[in-house]
Amino acid sequence: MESPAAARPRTSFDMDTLVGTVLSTGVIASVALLSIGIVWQWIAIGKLGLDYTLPRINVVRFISGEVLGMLHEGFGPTRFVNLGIIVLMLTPYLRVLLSMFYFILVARNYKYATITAFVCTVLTFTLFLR
Amino acid sequence: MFLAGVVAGLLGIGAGALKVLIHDLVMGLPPKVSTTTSNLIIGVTALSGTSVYLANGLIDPGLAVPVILGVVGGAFLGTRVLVRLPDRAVRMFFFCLLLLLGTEILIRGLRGA
Repeated sequence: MESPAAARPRTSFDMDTLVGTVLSTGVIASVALLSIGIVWQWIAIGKLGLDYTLPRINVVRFISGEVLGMLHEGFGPTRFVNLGIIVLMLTPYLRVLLSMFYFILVARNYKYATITAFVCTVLTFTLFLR
Repeated sequence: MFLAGVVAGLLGIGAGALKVLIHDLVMGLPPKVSTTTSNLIIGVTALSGTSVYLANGLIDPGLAVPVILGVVGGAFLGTRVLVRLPDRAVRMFFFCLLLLLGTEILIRGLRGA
C-alpha cells in the first residue's frame, strides 16, 4: 500500500511544515481573539463570563454576519469571541484545502488528491448545513 | 472509524480515545504515531460536527471559550511532553486514562439509571 510519505515528491517544498504552521497560526490567532474578547468584557462590565448565545445559522452565514458586523458596527467583546470561534473552526478546513492543492499541483498524486477533495467537499457541505 | 465518528457526534468526545484504540489494537501503529495522527484528524472531523451544532444553536460561548483556552494551553504542553516520552509510557498513560474515563461513564450511567 502506498504510504502518505511515498505520495510526497522529493522537492524542497515541505508540506508538513506548512500544515504545522497553518494549524499553529490558526490556533494562536483564535486564542488571541478569544483572550481579547474575554479581557475586554471583563474590563467593560467587570465579569469574565459570557452571557449570550450564538444564532441558529449555518457557518457561512455566521461568518458573513460577523464580517459585515465588524465593518458596519465595529468591534466589541462578543465580536472578538465570535471571530475567535470562526478562526478556530476554519483552521482545519484551511488545512484540508491546502493539502488538496498540494496533492493536485505539487505532488500530482491524484489518488490522494481525490481523497482530500472528497473530505473537502464533505466539509464544505457542512459549512452550509442549516 | 465510521462508528468512532458516530460516537463522537453523539457524545462530543472528538473520537480521539476510540481512534487511538483502533490505531493501536487493530492497525498496530506505534503509540506516538497513533496519538499525533489522531490529533491531526480530530480538528477536521470536529468541524463537520460543530457546523451542525452551530446550526442548531447548541454552542454556548460562555462554556466554549474557557474550554478552548484551557485545552490549547494543555495541548501545547502535552505535545512537548509526548516527544520526550518513550512509547511504553505513552501507551500505559493512555490505557490508564481510558480506564478512568470508562469507569466514570459507567458510574454516571448507573447513577442515572
